[in-house]
Amino acid sequence: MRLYAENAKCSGCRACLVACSMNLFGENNPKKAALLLIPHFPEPGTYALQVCTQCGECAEVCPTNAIKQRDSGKFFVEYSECILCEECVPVCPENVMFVKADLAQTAWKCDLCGDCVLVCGTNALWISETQPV
Amino acid sequence: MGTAELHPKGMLKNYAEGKNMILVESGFSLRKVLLDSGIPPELVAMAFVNEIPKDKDEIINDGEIIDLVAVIGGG
Amino acid sequence: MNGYGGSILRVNLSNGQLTRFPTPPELAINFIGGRGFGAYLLFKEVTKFADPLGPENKLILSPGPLSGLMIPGAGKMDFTTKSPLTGGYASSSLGGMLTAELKYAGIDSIILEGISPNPVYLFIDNDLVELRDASEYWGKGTITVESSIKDKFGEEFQVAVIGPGGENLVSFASINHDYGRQAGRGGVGTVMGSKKLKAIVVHGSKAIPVADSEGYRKAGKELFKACKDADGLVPWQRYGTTIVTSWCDEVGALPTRNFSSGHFDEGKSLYGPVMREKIVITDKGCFGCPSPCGKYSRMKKYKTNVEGPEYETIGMLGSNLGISDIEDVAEANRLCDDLGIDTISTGGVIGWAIECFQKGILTSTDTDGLGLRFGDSDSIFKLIHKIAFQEGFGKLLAGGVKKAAEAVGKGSEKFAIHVKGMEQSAYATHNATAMLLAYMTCDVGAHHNRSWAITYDLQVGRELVVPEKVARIIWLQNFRPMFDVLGSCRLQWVELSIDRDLYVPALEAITGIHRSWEDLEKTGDRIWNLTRMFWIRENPGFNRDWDLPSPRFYSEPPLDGPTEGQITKFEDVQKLLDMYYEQRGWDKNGIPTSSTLIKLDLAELAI
Repeated sequence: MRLYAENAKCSGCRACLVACSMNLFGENNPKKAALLLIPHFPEPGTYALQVCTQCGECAEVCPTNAIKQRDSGKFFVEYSECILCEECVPVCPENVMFVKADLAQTAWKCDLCGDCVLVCGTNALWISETQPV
Repeated sequence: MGTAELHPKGMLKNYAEGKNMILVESGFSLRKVLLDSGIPPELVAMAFVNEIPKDKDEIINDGEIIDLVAVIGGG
Repeated sequence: MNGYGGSILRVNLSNGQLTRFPTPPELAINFIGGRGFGAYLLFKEVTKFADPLGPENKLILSPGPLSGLMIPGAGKMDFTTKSPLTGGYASSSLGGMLTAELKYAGIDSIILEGISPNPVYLFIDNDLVELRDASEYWGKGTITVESSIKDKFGEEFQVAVIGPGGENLVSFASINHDYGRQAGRGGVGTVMGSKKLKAIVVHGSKAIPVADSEGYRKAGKELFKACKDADGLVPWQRYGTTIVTSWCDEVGALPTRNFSSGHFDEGKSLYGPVMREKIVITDKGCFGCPSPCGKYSRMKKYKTNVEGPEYETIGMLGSNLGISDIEDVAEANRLCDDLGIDTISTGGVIGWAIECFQKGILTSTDTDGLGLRFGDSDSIFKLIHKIAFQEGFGKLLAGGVKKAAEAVGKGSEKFAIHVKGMEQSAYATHNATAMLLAYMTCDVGAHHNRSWAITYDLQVGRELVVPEKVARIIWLQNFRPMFDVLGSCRLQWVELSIDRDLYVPALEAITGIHRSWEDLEKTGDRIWNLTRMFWIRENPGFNRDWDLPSPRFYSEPPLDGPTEGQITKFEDVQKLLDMYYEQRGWDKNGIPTSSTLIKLDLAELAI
């Protein structure tokens, strides 16, 4: 089970980022979201999204086992156990492990809450069973 | 003579007794069929068949499902 | 304060002083935000008779309590000033990302005052606020400058920037943002240029507080669900404002050849589906919008990009100028955006100039040797450039169509299509009495966004001159601009027909204050009268003549199209105005009476 994104459908609105920060931190602050929106303007004039694929690479390197896995297969960060070592950040293939100490005293990542899907008006985001590569 | 379907959206439903679908005869222009159905053509912003625009003076073909988009508040 | 950034920033460009003070709670309660803050601060702080291009005029930028939150369309902000184009109230709405970023930087309003001795840009990064040297950017186009600034500071920095149009004090200069969004009308970019402020650059990473987190999340999600369930969503996402181009042509509302007609024979090549197929590459949205109406386009003919053209630009730079090639319209749009001038006013003044040339009122001696013809895109591109740099013939046009017609005379005033000096936007109002009244009484001049009523005209009977039409216009004027006060877009209500009552619990959960739409419309009525008093204060002798439309709409019926031979009589124009004043509680000259002002809690401000 994971989040999928289709770049061609993204309109750059960032509603997903606010929904995400509300879920992860109870705050309206898109700088604390766990997915990336990358605008490419003025050329070619498109948006790109990077989302967590629940690959688990981050969990494997975490020295305190702060990144745990639910029975459903979702990986999430146990905030109280994160020591801000940043080992997880470079191993993420999608660049969506976040450590910004000025904003939060913990790493954060997507926990597959689905709120971004709810607010995406163009259906650029959806959750589905992991497809075989 | 066959049939087709008009699917009025938004406030156009008010001109179709609230219905989502009106069955109509094919072979006539969309404009005529709208008039006959009580939907003022001048309140229809655009019509689509399978998301392809259909001009109001085009003839309706058998089996077409025609989505009618209202001009709403504008601007 | 829940729902707010928390502070107002005062920027004195004359002496470089930057002051940040807490947003006064009474201001938030009584004027809410956005356009409400703008109207209040304009009236209170701008000296009577201030020169719009002088140090005493102020440019006030304000997001609203919904901006930057998980609310559909939470991406709008207001720019308010005394207009160099009209001499009255100017308020222009900007969509995109800037409004949200201001909230994350803790800002509810920026008051720009004075004049900088040298070109500068305002740099805001959370609590850091600085005026920095802009000499490397001065003279450059808006797209280049935005790109350079984002390259320098990071993609997360949001930028509002003027072009040569604002720098050269073109009366209808725009402010540009996010590669294709504008605060377009009324000369807000002109005032920014007069202050030598090239750009505003903002980054914020604070959270916006809300009163009731769970209530707000629930209400926000319901608003998003309503948008996604709307049966008009897909066509709106696909075509945006261009969904009305064909319809306007069919009902005689598409401005053609300087509003001489409402129908364009070559119009089919400008329609939405044709445009989408030919040039559109991305549907582009403002902050928080599930129904992105922006169309980012690629013009293969010119190897350029533009966000647009919107319906307004298709009308004003397309059919109004006899141009039938959508790529030409898109390129004209791009030139206006990059050079920083409003596409609507530009199309209006050029349409007038072409008609003058056709009638021999202007000759090639006047036009720097340019032959002006409807349909000639090359001369139109050249004119746009001349206007932006106030070069040669461009100088006359850069003052706007009202001043240009006054200067030229010879009967050209009869076809200068404006109200109060603002060029009419893209709806031809031959025999469309509600929309005609809308343009006559709009608070910034001939703009359509306050009370768009063409469908209503068609539903009720376009020629009718009845109190119900007047009541409808007044209701729309008290209601629609409240979205500009709240800092979010009205088009989810306007185009998707979502239930507006869904906003009420969201607004309450965010701000902690309950406001029904009845409450909001009362505030809307108050703001409407406040800005009317601003016009009156700034223009001695202001009277009902200021509310009259262009004579074209009561004396020149179109010669073709669906409105062929149809026109509103002048006595009906006056009758509409009489009914409007009566229903508004204004006297026969359109001045709010004391009892109206007292009823609206405005007696003290109006003296």
